[in-house]
Amino acid sequence: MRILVVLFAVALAPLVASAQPAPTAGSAAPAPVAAPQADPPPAAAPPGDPAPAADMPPPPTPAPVMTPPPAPAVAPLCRLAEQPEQPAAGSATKKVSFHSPMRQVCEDELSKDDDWWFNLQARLRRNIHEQAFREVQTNNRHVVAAYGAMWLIAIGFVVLMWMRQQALKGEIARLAAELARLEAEDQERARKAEEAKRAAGTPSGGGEGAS
Amino acid sequence: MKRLLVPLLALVAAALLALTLHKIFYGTPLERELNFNQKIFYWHVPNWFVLFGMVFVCGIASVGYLVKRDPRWDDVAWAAGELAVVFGAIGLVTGSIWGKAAWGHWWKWELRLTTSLILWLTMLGYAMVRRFAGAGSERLAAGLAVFGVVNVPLVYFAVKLADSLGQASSHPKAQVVSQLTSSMKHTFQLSALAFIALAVALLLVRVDAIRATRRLRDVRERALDAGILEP
Amino acid sequence: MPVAAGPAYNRSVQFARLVFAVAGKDLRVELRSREIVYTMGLFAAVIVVVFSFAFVRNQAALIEAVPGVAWAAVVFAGTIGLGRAFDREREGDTMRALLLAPAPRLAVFAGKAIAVALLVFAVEAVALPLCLLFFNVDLGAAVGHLALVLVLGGIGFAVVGTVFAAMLLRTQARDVLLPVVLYPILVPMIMAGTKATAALLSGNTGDAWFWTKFLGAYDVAFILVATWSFEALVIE
Repeated sequence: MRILVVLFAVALAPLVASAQPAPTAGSAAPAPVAAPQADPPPAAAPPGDPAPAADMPPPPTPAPVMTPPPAPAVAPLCRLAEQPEQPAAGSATKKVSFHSPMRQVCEDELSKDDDWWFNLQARLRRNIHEQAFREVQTNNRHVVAAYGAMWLIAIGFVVLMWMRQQALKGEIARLAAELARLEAEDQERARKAEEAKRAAGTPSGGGEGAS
Repeated sequence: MKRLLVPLLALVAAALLALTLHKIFYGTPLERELNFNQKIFYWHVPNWFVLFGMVFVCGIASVGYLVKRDPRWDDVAWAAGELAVVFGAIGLVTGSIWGKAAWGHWWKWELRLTTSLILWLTMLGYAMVRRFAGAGSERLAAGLAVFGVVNVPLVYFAVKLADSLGQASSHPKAQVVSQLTSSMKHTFQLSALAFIALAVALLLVRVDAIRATRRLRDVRERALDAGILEP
Repeated sequence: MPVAAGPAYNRSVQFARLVFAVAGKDLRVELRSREIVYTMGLFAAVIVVVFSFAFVRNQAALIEAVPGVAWAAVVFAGTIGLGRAFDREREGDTMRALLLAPAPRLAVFAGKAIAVALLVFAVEAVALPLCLLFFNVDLGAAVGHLALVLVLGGIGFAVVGTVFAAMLLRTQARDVLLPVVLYPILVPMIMAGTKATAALLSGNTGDAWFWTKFLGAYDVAFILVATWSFEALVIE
């Protein structure tokens, strides 16, 4: 027996020594709510007056205007005209982020136009609300399902126990009935034996014995 | 006093479950990563506590039965084994629903899920043996419980070391409870208490029923032997 | 090694002699008819063929399926053989005779476990070469290591299986209950065996040695548990 214990220890020691330490558990589930982070536009020089050139398109329309950036030799129309760094030429990219050269113009116009800013806020607020509502509605299902499953299984178990209890009670009742029947038979037999004894013991004097 | 124990425990469990239900939905904040789905945690984790408690009780009662040969130990082992199956089923179902909500798929072969599944299959085998193996199978069941309890650390370490040789685990960390905010921790503790009360109450009820069945069977055997009853 | 024969040395020699007597008895009975070996071997071969069909793609079988198919065949055929070996005991009612013999229970258990282990080795000797053939695997120098993994797995299977089959001897529904109670206990062995085989097939000897050592630890753990509990568990 001791040999086996020693063998066990010997077998375990190199195992423990050679087991690589488990890497620290990764963080929990990926966040189902992943609000897309919009990169803040790179802040450039302190704001100055934008110089609206004559050929600038009118204030932003829903359709993005794809104007090519002005050539570096010419003075840039807005300070935020630099494009984000393009990936190395030749490497296949799925998405090229488009950085509108009109951003500063929009922001300046926005700061001037209160009504516009207010309307934008109202639209966004409703969007955020609806997104949150959809979140809760879809996530809610899982919690309800989980708790419901828990209760169902527990109730199922209680029902199973109840059925076994009923079977037990039925068995007891049957045995009690059987016992009662046997007792009655016993009493009947005793009575008959008593009568026979009385009849055999005193053949002349009938009815003498205490009835 | 003893007669009142089970109703008292059941009452405590019911009250605490209702209270925690209210607190879970109205008293705890939303968790940052999992939002609403995290609320499954308040009942899922206490369920696993109770499950391991039941498996522990079953193992100890089985060893006690093998050592002492007293059928009362066997009753406790049987009841604990059945309850382990029930709580294991609850844990696996709620766990996989939570997994669907958190990871996007119903099952994942990672450390805790695999160990729990093997443990549950062992206890299911135990319940099958008790149910279908007929008279005289107490020793078989006790042996199965002992082997099963010894098996659990082996399975745990097998999967853990397999994972460490492969990829990292993605189950929520084990120390998550100590990092909770106070309202969450409070609710979690109340919920754990509720489940423990419920489990103990169910265990006592089940042990009682099994004991009654056994006594009935014994009396019936004696009556048959004495020739009183016809089989 | 003690030169002078003390009482402990005598006892252990006696013990070993008993163990080999029981094992020898089983093997002699088996060799006379060879029923179990043939049927187990054929069953393992059939399983390998059927699973190979399941995993064929473009007229070639997936090599990743080899560990799983091989160990599944070993476990299933081993269970059948285990059941049959103890059926023979029950049919001849020799189990009671064995347990009444003036031998420590442990010797009886060890002897039977050795016999079962040898049967499982025979099954493995059939299943693995077939797998390697059907899946077009070339192992080269790793064959010895694979043999070691198979031996350790067979020992684990035999130890745990013998205890449960002995306990199930006089139970109703024993044919279906044996797999139901046995397989969850065998899970670490199957896991370690398949991972070791997969590591060997992909040439990763570090991982293979790790899982081989794990198999050894599993064997030792359950040999300990079985020896401690066999007396209490198997009475009739």
